[in-house]
Amino acid sequence: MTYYWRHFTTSPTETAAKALESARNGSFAQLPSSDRAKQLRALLLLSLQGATLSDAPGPLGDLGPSLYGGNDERNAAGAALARTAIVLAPPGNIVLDQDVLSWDDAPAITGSIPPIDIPGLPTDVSALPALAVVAIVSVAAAAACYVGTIVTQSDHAIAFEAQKTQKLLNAHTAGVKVIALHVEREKIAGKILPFDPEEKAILHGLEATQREIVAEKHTPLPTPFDGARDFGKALAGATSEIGKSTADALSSVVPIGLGLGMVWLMSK
Amino acid sequence: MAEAVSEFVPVRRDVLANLQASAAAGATLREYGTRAREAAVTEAKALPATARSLVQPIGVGAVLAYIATLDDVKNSETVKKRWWLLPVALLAIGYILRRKNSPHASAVLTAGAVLFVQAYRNRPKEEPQAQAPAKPGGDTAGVPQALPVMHPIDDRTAWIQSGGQWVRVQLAAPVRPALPQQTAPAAAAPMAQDPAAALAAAAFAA
Repeated sequence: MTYYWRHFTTSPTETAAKALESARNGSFAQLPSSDRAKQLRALLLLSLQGATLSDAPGPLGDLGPSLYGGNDERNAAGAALARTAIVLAPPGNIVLDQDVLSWDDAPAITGSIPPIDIPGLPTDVSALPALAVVAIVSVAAAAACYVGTIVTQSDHAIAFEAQKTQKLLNAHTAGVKVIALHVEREKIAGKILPFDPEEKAILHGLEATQREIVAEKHTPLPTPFDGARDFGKALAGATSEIGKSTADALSSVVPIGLGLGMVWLMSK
Repeated sequence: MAEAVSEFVPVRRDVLANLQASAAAGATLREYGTRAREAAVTEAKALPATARSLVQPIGVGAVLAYIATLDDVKNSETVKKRWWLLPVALLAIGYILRRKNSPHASAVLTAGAVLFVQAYRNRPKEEPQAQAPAKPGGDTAGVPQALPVMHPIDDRTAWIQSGGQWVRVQLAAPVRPALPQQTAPAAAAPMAQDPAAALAAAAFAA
C-alpha cells in the first residue's frame, strides 16, 4: 500500500525562495521555528521536484532510473538532490505506515484524514490553495516526509546548528539552482542537454559533502531510490563508454586499413 | 570412245544455272566456317589473358564492396556521422592509383562513385534547429513552442498548450502567478529571474 504526504501552503514560490536563501546563508538555525518548519518543508518538496530533472507537475517521490532515460549522470544528479533529506534525517530507522498531512508550519497530522475540524484549516481539503503530494515509494520520499514531520517537534534532533549541516544545505541550494537552470535550458532547447563542467562541479560538490557527512557516521552513501547512481558510479560508466567508443573506432579503422593494404598489394 | 561419251551429259540451261549457284553458296559457307573457326581459335587463345585482366578488377570491386558493407564499418559512429567519408576515401585511393597508372584505378573509382551516390541518398537527415528563446517585448507570434502557454478559464481551471497538445488542468490560485501566462514575455520573465520558482510551482501543482 502506498502512503502519501500531502503538504499545503499558501505561498509556495515565496516560501521556496526564502528556503533557498536560508539554506544558502546557513541561517536555518536562527529562524523562528515556524518559519524554519515552513521553509524546510518547501525545500524538501522543491528538492524532490528537482530530483526528477523536470518541472512537469505530478506526484513527487516516485523516483527511479526510468526517469533519467538510462543516463547515469542525470540519475546521479537527481539522486544527489534526493539524498540530502536522508543525510539530514537524524540517525534511526524511518518507518512510515500512515498518510501524513501538513500545513505550512503546523504539526503534521498522521493517519487517515478525517473530516478536518481544526482552527485555521478549511474543512474541505480540496479547497486548500496549494498542494504538494509525495508518494512514499522511495527512501528519499520517506526521508523527506519524516524530516518534514519531525521538524515541528521540539526534540527533532536535526542538527541545524552544526557546521556540516549548514555546509550540506549550502551545497544543496547550489545543486537545486543548477538543476532549475538546467531544466529551463533544456525546456528552451527542446531536448535533453548534457551538464556543463560548472554544473557538474557543483553537483559533484553536493555529493562530496554528503559523502563527508556519512563518512563521519561510518555509514555508506545512502541510496535514495532503487537503481540510484552516484557520480562515482556514473564516472565508471562514462569510462566504460569511452572504452566502447574507442573499440568502435578501432573496429571501423581496422577493416579500412586491411582494405587499403590489399589494394596496395594488388597494385604492386 | 564409249567412255569418252559417258563423261558428258547433256544438261538443260536452267538446271546448269541452279547447279552453279549451289556451288557458289557452298564455297561461301565454307569461307564463313573457316572464319568462325579462326575466330574461335583466336578467342580461345586470348581467353587466359582476358580472364586474368577481368578477374583483377572484379576482385578489387568485390573486396571494396565487402569492406564497405561490413557491419563494423556500417555501424561505426564515425561512418554514420560522416556519410561521405568512405566514398571519398575510395575516390582518393582511386585517384592515387590512377596517378600510378595502376590497372585497378578504374575499379576503385567506380566503386567510390557508386558508394558516394548511395551514401548521399541514404545520408542522415539534419536535426531540427533548437528553437530560439522568446524575445522580450514581442507579441505571441514569437512564443517558442517549447514553452507552455496557459489560457485561464476561471480561478481554478485553465487550458495549457504545450508542444501542440492542449491539457485541461485544475490550478490552485497561488500557483497561477508562478505559471506561464498567455503571453511569452510575461511567462518568461519570472522563470528567467528565478528558475527555482518554476520547480516550486511544479512541486505544488499536484
